[in-house]
Amino acid sequence: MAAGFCGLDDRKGARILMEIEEFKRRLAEAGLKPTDAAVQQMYAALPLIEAMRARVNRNYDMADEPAATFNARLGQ
Amino acid sequence: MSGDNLCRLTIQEAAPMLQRREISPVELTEAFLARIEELNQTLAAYVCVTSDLARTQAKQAEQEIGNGQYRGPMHGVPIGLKDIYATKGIATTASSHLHVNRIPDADAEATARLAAAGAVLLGKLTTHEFAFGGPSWDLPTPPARNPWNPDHFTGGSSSGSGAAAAAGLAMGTLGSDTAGSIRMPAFFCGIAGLKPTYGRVSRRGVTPLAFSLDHCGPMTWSVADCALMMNAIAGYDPKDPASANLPVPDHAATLDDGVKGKRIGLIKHFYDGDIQAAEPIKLAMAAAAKTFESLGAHVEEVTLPSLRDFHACNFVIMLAEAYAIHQASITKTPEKYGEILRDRMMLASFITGYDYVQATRMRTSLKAAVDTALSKYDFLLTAGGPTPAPKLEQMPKFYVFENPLLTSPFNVSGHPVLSVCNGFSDAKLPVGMQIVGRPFDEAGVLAAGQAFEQATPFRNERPMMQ
Repeated sequence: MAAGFCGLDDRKGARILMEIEEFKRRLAEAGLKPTDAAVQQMYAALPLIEAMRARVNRNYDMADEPAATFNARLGQ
Repeated sequence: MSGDNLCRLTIQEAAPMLQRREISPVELTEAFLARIEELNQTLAAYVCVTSDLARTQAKQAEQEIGNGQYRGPMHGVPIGLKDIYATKGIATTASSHLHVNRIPDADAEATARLAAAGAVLLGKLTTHEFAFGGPSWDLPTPPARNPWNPDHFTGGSSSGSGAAAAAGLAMGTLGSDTAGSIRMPAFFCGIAGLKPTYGRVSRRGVTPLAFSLDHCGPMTWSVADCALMMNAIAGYDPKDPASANLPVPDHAATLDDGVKGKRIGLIKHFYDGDIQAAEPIKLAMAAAAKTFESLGAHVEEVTLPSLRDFHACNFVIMLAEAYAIHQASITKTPEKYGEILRDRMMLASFITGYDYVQATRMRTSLKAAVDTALSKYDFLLTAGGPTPAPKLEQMPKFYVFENPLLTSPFNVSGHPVLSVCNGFSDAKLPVGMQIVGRPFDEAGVLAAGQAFEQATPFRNERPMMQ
């Protein structure tokens, strides 16, 4: 992993990179104000999140339904 | 009967004694309050002990039983609730500074059902912050400790529930399970813990972590006691939108049905392939499979999708739903959160709406894979965790992202799972396994767990009891 970058290999080998400045910017845009120490720790852990994201993002068929499909009977 | 002997009783043993008035709910409650007084400083299982309420409820139970108004096996039985179950007039803090002054004006549905069954509330039990952030030392109360060795982790997030049920600080407890929070403490503390089918037990009034993954269920010393608690709490709640409107069987009636002729699929690759569990776990699973075969079941290996797929699906959905719940508070008052939950939630902000929908699409196929396996087998069997309980201070902040949880698959799929103790490590720490059943077949997994428990010696010794 290049210094200053958070990277990972997803299951197809694609590489996702985010510089720490971009990481900080996105936290700030979300209204989050972590300490510098927390930023460093979270940035180091970001590949774990990115690995999980990569694993769920597959080539689904257009008609593949989510488990959360709305059901009008619920709540009746 | 001495206090410690009273606290050693299971619900199944105590209930007929209470009904016959051989013991009284008052003496039973006093025994548990004394034991909590003695051990809670070490174990930190309770965040709040409701002594006055417990004595009042015990006295009422004693009078009712004396008057011939016996309500059933939970009548006069002292229990504890994870501190995310709303209790009317009693602080329900989720072990967070954010909710430290929260006094609900109504009981959670499960709380109310246990009260209606005549149970005696001893107090509220330690949880990881909002059932996700822990073990932490910057919360209103310290983390619970493992009764088998207080230097070790109880598992989370129903940490106090696990410690209390193991150490005899309550006859039964309730926990909640979004990625394994009933089953991991059951595994580490050597008790029985049931994650029912999604929709079987009402979530209403229980502080949510992730709406589509949260399950409520019992944690007890014995399998039979899980069945008795399920009889009190299971069933349709029209005010919980996920509640299933289905009949509920008597979970205790079929406990002794055994496993003769049952087909069991062993998901070995979860713990010996997708991840590598420690040797005591693998040995305990091999021995458990042999035990089931000796009881007349047919056990063979079955393959499901990778454990890592289930774990990713579980956590992407959980983080997205949890962030939706906490976003407003975490941006406005981050200082009210413990560091672990705050930082985990900040990382959750990197999960996108696209990720969430894709994870729910993946969930559909993963659930179908479990259903397919259970069309061939009556039960599935796998390990409950990768190692015996680690030391409490060794838990890294982001361990739940790093290591796939063996419990995750069945939060994704919603199937009922019973965690039971299936051995001990050389260091005398318990290990456990999961018995998975078809949707709403809690009675079946309990019967399988009961057969295993009766055939093995793992209930012979209890921690902190001479």
